[in-house]
Amino acid sequence: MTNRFENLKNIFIDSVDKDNFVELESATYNYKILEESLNKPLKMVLLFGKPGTGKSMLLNKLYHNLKESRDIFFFDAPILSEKEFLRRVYESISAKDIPHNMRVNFDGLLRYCQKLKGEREIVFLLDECQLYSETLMEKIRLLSDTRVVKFIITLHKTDDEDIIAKQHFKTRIWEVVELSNATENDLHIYIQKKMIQKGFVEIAHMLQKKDIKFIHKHTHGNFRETNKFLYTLFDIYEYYDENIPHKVSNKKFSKKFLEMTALKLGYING
Amino acid sequence: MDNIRELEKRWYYYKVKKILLFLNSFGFVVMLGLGSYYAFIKVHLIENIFNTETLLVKSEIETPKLTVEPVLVAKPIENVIKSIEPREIVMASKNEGIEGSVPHEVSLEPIIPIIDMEKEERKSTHTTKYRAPSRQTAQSGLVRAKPSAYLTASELATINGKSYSSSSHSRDTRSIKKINLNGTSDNYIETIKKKFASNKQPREALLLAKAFYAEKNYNKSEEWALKANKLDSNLEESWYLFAKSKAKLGQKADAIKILTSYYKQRHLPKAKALIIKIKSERL
Repeated sequence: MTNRFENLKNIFIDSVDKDNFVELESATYNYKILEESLNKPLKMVLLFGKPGTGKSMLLNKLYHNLKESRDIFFFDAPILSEKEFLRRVYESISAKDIPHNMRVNFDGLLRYCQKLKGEREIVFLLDECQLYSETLMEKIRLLSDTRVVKFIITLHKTDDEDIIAKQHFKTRIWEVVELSNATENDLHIYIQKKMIQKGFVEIAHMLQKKDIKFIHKHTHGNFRETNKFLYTLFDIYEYYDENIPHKVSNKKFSKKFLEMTALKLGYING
Repeated sequence: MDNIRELEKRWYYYKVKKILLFLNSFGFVVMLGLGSYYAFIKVHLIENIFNTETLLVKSEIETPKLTVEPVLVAKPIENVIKSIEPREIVMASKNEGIEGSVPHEVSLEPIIPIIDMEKEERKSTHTTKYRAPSRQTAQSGLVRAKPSAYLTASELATINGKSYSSSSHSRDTRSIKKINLNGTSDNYIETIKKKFASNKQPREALLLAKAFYAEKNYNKSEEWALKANKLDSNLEESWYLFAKSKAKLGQKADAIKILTSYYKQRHLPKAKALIIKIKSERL
C-alpha cells in the first residue's frame, strides 16, 4: 500500500506537462494575450520572465491547445547547432525527413518560405532562446521577415542583462508578455488546485494562510521553487507518516515540518 | 531516512538558536531601556545639581544687595499663608530647582539656651565673693580701680562712704536661692512668658518658641513662632521655627509653602537648605 504522501509529493515534481497546468488568473490572462497575438500579423512574440515563472508551461499549453487547429511547432529544448536547427525547421514545414548526410541551405530555406507566402502561416514556439547564438538569432529574424514563419520565443529575464534591448529583437518584437512570480494569493490557489486536481482535497484544505506565507517568504512565489519545497515537505511527511505517525496531524500543516523543509533546502540556516 | 533524523537534529539546533537569539534581543532591549532610564535619571540629577549651584551662586551674589537695603520687610507668615496658592508654590519650587540635591548644610537646629539657674547662682556668688574688697583695702578705705563699668554693692558702699551691709548681701543670696529651688525648664518657660507679658518683645516670643520646640511641643512652638513673626516679620528664626514646627506636625506642604515664599523674598540659603531638609525628611 503506497503512502498517501508519496503520491502527493509526486505531483510536485517539476514538469511542463500540460496536465499540470494550473489555471491561475495571471496565467490565463497571459495565455489569452499569446493566443490573440498569433492572429495578428506579428513577426515575433517575446515571452520573458525569471526562471520558474511558468514560461515553458505556457508555451506547452499553447502548443497542445492549438496543434490541431494551426500550423504550429514546439521546440521545447534549445537546438544549439545551426545546421540542426535549419534542418528541423525545414522538416517541420515540409513534413519530410532529410537524410543525415545532407544539410539545409539557409538561402534555400528562405526561398522555400517565400514560395509559401499567402498559402500557409507557420508558428514556431522556441523555448530557452537565450541559449541561441547571435548568428542563429539573426537567421530566425530573417526567416520571420518572410511573413510566412512566426516565432514565439521565451527568454530568461536576468537582472544584469536587458534582453529586450538587444539589437536583433528591438525592431521585430511586437508583442511582449512578461511573467512574474506568484503572489501569496496566487500561490495558495496554485498549491490547492494542484492537490485538488489529483484528489487530495482534505490535505489541500489543511493549508492555512500562515503556511502559504511561510512558503512564499522562502520561495518568493516562484513556481519551480514552490514545487521543490512541497516535494520536500511531503517527503518529510511520508517519513513521519510511516515511522512516527502520531506526529502527523490531519488538521493542519506542521510548522516543524515546514521549518525542516526550509532547513533542508537551505532557505534557513540551522 | 537517516537524513530525516539528521534534519530533525538540525531543526532542534535551529530552534535553540532562535530562542537564544530572541532572548538576546529581548535582553538587549531591556538593557537598553534600563540604560536609557538610568542615563535619564543621571542627566536629570546633574541638571538639578547644576541648577542648584547656579541658584546658590546667585543667592550669594544677591546677599550683599540685601544688606545694602537697610529696610527689607518680609511679609508676615499669616499673609503668606493666605496669599499663596498651592499650585503656585509647586511651580515655584520646581522652577527654583531646589528638589533633589542638597547644598552646603547649614544647621538650623534651634539653639535653646537652657540655663542652669543653680550654676548661674553659684557663679554669681563666687563672683561676689571674689569681688569683695580685701580686708587691707577696706581698712585703708581705698577702692582699687576696676576695668568694668559696673561696681559691686560693697564697692559702691565704699565709694559712697556707707558701710557695706553683709546682711543685705546675704538677703540677696537667699532670694537667689529661692529661685534656685525652682530652676527647671518649665520655670524657664514661665519666666520668659512673664518677661514677654511685660515687654512684648519678639525676642522673648522666639525664645519661647525655641524652648517649646526643644520640648517637642510643636503646637506651642508654632504658636510662639507665629507671635514672634507678627511682632517682627523680619525675624529670620521665627520663619524657620514656624516651618519646622509645621513640618513636625505633619503639615509638610504648608511648611514648604511658607519657606518657599520666604525664600522668594529674601533668597537666604538657610531657607533653601531647610526646604530641602523638609522635603527629604531629614528634619
